[in-house]
Amino acid sequence: MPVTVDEVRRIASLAGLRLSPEQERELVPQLAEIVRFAGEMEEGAPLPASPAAMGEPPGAPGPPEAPDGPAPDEPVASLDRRLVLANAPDHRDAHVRLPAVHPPEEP
Amino acid sequence: MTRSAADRELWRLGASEVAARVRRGELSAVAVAEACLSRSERVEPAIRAYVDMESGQALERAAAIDRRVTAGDDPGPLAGVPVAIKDNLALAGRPLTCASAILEGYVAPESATAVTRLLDAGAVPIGRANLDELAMGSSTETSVFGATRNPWDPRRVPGGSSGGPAAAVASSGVPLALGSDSGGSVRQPAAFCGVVGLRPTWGRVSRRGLVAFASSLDQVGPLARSVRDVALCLQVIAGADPGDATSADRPVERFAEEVDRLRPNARGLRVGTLAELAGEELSSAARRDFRSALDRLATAGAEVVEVSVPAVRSALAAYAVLAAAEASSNLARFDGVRYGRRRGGAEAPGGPRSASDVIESSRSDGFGKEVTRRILLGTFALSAGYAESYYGRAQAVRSALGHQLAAAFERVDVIATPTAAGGAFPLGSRVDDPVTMYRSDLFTTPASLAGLPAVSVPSGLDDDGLPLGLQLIGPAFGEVALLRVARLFEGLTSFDRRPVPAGEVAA
Repeated sequence: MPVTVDEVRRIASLAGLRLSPEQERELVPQLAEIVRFAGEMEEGAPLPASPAAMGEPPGAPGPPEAPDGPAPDEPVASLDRRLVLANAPDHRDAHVRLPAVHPPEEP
Repeated sequence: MTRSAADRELWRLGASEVAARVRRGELSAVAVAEACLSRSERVEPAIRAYVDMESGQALERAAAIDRRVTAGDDPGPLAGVPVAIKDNLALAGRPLTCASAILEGYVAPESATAVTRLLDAGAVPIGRANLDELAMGSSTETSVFGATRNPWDPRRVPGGSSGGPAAAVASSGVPLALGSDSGGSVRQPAAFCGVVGLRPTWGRVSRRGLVAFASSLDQVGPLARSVRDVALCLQVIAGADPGDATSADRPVERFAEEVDRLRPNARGLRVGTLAELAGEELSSAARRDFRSALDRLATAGAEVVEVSVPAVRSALAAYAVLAAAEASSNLARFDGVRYGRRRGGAEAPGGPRSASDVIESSRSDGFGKEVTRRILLGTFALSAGYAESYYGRAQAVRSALGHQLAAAFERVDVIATPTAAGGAFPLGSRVDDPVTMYRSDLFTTPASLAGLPAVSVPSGLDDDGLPLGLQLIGPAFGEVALLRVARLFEGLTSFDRRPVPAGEVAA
């Protein structure tokens, strides 16, 4: 894939990132090299037979399946709200407060 | 030696000895903590292993351990053992930075399960150790707090991403540290710093409270100056956890006692080498060291057998794609809304535009260069038109690798490789060359992709006097046999793992 400035901007937008012109200049050749490197998977490596194969788990045995099927759907205690709010950049009462994204009203 | 002089040397002790003596009431946990804190403070200006020291809390916790011993209680198998904790593992009530600006101001609301188990076993955290930003890197140079230095030569990197834990253990600031390993982040810094580092089987240790990087790869693992100490730590942290649905519900063996039953020799042991990683990637010193390591095992009676695992040739690239893809997804949670650094909004220059403007501003300002590169690669590898040829192919490589390694373990007990292609490289030499940096993980990514346990054990020194490591890989959940082979190899190796005196680490 040719890595162009437009392509990097498109990917950045998908990733929720905004790049400065300086970052773009640095990242385009670096990503081109990384993408070439990522393509070093041998041609002999088989392509997945079906879309389902794309979600295949690690080759080694992972955690065994629960013998009795999925665990029951039971409510458990979640984090204390005060602790959660203490980490918020801003909050009011019991809510995370977001910055205004509209211009201030004219007086 | 006077008592006070002996106390000052307590930082030299390993974890098993500290715990045994504290439990017997022969040694004060406070004295050990003071010695390790003092040692750490002495070497820290040159090594910079820590994001933050926890001196006050450490001494309080150590005093509580001593009180329990005096009262006749057993504080646990790690009683009074000072530990460093990589700062992507949560410690309740303390900042958790992942060495990233994006987590500015964040305080962990609860402790990681592995950390809780350490604390319950009597360990004494003395500091939160440095790492590559969000555990992405092989040199601990991408930390927002600056680079950690290799205690063997402060002009060199300690490896990464668990460079802080490895440097803290190698410089004898602590006998034990907790790191995390996605593609080699415990094993490679262990090799570079001349200590032992274990990546347990995926699922063996709970990841609850470990900040996620690549969830199908991440694993918590210990670093120490001996195989025995690593085994003791694994015994404490392993086991199912209701807080991590991916933790395996399997019995936890008595790893420390098992490695004490040392094999008298290597007769009957089959050691595999990988035909596809034959050594052209290695420095001449690393090649010589690896051959010497195999010779030592063979002389002790082991049968060295070459096995073919063709997919290892593609493992590094597949790892890069899969780890980046998972990172791009996991890191979507850092949006400046609920926690961490927030930028943009009404107060931003030029005024507000939209909610996504706040998110993009926060993320772009909070992530460093390497994290940004990986998010972009991962987003690309998952995007329409490329997902099949990158992500899909990488998953196919991973699946083939798992099957091929499982077949290899029908023929051998462990697979041996060098942990890295050479000794620690100079600071700054690869940080702007991402692909060369990624190639640092050539030997460690196959076990990561297959979810297998692997341990790095010091094997010798290179031409510059820097440590090299031997990696031993075992079958899934085969840590007992793996650690016993590691202990055997440790005994066959006249590796000088002396703590580096502070005077030798002057920058």
